[in-house]
Amino acid sequence: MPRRGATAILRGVLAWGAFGALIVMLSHAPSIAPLPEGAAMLQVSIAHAGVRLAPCRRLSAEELAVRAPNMRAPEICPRGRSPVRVTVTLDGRVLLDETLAPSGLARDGTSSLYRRLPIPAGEHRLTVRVIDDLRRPAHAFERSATLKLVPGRVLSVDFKPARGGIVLS
Amino acid sequence: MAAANAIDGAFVAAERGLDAAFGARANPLRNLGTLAFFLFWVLAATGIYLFITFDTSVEGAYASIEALTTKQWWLGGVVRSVHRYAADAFVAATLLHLVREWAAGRYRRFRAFSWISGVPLLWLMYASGIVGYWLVWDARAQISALATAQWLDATGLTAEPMARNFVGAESVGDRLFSLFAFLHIGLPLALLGGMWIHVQRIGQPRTVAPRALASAALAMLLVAALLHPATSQAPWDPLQLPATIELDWFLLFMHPLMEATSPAVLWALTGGATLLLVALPALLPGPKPVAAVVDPANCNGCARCTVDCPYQAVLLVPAPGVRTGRQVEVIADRCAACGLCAGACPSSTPFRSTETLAAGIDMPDADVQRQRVKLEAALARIAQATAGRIIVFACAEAANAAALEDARTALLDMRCIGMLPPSFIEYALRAGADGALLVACREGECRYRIGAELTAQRLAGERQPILRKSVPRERLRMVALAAGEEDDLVAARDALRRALDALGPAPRLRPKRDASAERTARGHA
Repeated sequence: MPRRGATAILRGVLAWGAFGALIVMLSHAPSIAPLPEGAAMLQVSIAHAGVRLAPCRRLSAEELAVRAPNMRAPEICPRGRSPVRVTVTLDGRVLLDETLAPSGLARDGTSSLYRRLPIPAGEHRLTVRVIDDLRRPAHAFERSATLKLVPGRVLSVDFKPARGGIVLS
Repeated sequence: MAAANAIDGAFVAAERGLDAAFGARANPLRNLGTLAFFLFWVLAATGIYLFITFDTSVEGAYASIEALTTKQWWLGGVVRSVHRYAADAFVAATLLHLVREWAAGRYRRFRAFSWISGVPLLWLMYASGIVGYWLVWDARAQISALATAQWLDATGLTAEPMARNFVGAESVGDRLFSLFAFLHIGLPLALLGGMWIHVQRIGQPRTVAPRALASAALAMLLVAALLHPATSQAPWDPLQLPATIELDWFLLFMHPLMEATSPAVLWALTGGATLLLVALPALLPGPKPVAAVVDPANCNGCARCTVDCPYQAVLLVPAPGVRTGRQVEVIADRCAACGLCAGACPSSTPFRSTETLAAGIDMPDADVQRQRVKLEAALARIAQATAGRIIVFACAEAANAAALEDARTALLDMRCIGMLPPSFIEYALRAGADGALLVACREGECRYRIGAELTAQRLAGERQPILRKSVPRERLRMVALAAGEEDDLVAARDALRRALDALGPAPRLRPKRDASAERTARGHA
C-alpha cells in the first residue's frame, strides 16, 4: 500500500478513535452524586382529597319541584374540598409546611405534593402532621418517630387513611 | 453572525482535514445527517435483539439485562453496548448536524422546511433515549424516571404528581414496563417518521451511508463496546440511593441541570431553545433568491429539472388543456436559484436557431440568452490568440477564477457549475476555444449540494443532458477547488494549456444555429 494510503488510514483511525473515546467518556463520566455526601433523603409524597367543604344534603320538596323532572336527584353534594396542610418537622425544625390546594377547576380533586428533602444521615426525630380539613385544624393526623438513617437511605412519607394515616417507609 | 462565521470556519477546516483521511464521500463531518440515519438503523437492529431477550416485568427487567451482559457478553453484551454507544453517537451526530447547518446558514428560505421539521426530532430523540434508560431499571433509571416525572409535574397538567409512580416498590408494576417498552418502540418509530419528513424537501437525499462511512462507524461502535462494555448501575431500590451514579451526558444531562436549577428553569431553557430554533428562519430570513421560471412554450415535460432540483422546488404538473401533457411548475419559496434546473433542461442550449433563446425552465437574471451572449463575448476576447485558448466555466462559490483571465483565457462565471448545460462546452469548442476548464466547488462543499456531482455525471454521459461523445474530452478539464485554492486553479489551467499546446488548435467549426439543431435539442426529451 502506498505511503499516503497508510497515512490516510492512520488519520481515519485516529479520527474515529477520538470520536469513539469522546462517546465512551461522556457516556459514563463524570458521575453525579444523587445526594450530598453523608446525606439521606426524605421523600414526601402525598396525594389526598381533603374533606368536602359542605356535606351532602337532601333537597326539600320545594327545591325539587322547581327542577326539571330529569334533574330531581334527591341529594345534592357540593364538590369543593378543603385544602390539605402538610407539616414535616425534623428534630424540632420545620422542614416543610405547605397548604395544598385541591386540583381541578371546581377544586374538588386531590391535593398532592412531591418533595425531596436531603437531610443529614443519623438519628432524627421526625414528626409529620396532615390536616385534611382546615376548618378543624385540631383534627389532624400526626405521626412521630425516631429514625436512624444511613447515608443514601430514602425515607418516604405518604398519607393513606386506609392504612392508618401517615405511612413511613 | 460572527460566531456563526467562526464556527463555520472551524467546521470547514475540520472537514478539509478529514477529507485527507476519508475523502469527501466518507468524511463523517461532511455526512452528519447520513451518519445519523445509519446510527438509527444500528439502534433499530440492536434494539430488536435486546427486545427479544428483555423481560418486561419489575422483577425481570434488570435481571434479564444483567444476564445478557454477563452470561452472553460475547453477543448480548456487545449488542447492548453497541446500542448504548450508537444512541450516544446518534445524539452527537445530530447535534453536530444542527450546529453545522446553522453555522453554514442552511436554515433559511428554501432550507426552512428541513430546519423546522428537524426541531421536533430533537425532542423525539431525547424522549426515545431517556425512556431507553428506564428499561434497565437500575439506580440510573430511578434517578432519571423521577427527575423526568418531576419535570413533567411542573407543567401542572397532571392531577397527581407523576413522580408518585416511582416512589415505592408497590407503586411500580409490570404494566409500567409494558408502557416503557411501548414508548421505547413508539417514540423511535415517530422519530423515523419525522426523519422521513425532514428530508422531503431535499432532492436526492443521502440517507444511506456510503460503505466506507458505515463500516468505520460500526467498527468504532464495536471497538468501544469491547473495550468499555456498557453496564448497569445498582438495581433500582426505592429505599436506598447509591453514593454516585454514572451519567450518560449525551442523553441525561438535563437531570443534573434541573437539579442545579429547577423544573421551571429547565422548561424555560428547552421551550425557549425550541421556539428560537423554530423561529430562526423567520428571524434571519436572508435575501430572497430570484426563483427559476418556467416557459411552457419551451417545456416538453421531460422532468429532468424535477429530478435534478436539489430542494424539490420543481414539480411536474398536468399541462393545462392537454389531456396527456405535462409541464413543470416552480414553487418559488423552495427555489434556491441555483440554476441546476436550467442546466438540466434540454432546451437550454446555445445551438438553437432562434434569435432570442428561451429555455423551458430558466433563471430570470441569468437565462440561456444572456449566457450565450456572455459566452460569445468571452470567446471574442480570446479570438486573437492562435492557440491554447481556454474558456473557463466557473462556479462563483468556488476558487476565484477571475485571476485566470488573460489574452488566451476567458471566463464565464455562474452561480453553480451545475447550471451549465453541457451543450455550452461544445458550443465554446466549436466557436473559438481550444479547451474548456470547468471550476466546481471542492467536493462536499457545493453550496447547492449536488451541482458538481450532476455536472460530472453529465460530462461522463451518465446523466441527461449529456456532453456529446463527439466533444474531444482531451480538451476538457474539470477541477473542484474552494476559495483559497487559487494557486491550484492556476496550475490546473496551465496544465490544460500545455495539453492543448501539444494537441494543437481545435478544428474550427462554426456553431450551427439551424432548425435541425433546434430539433435535436428539443428531441432530447
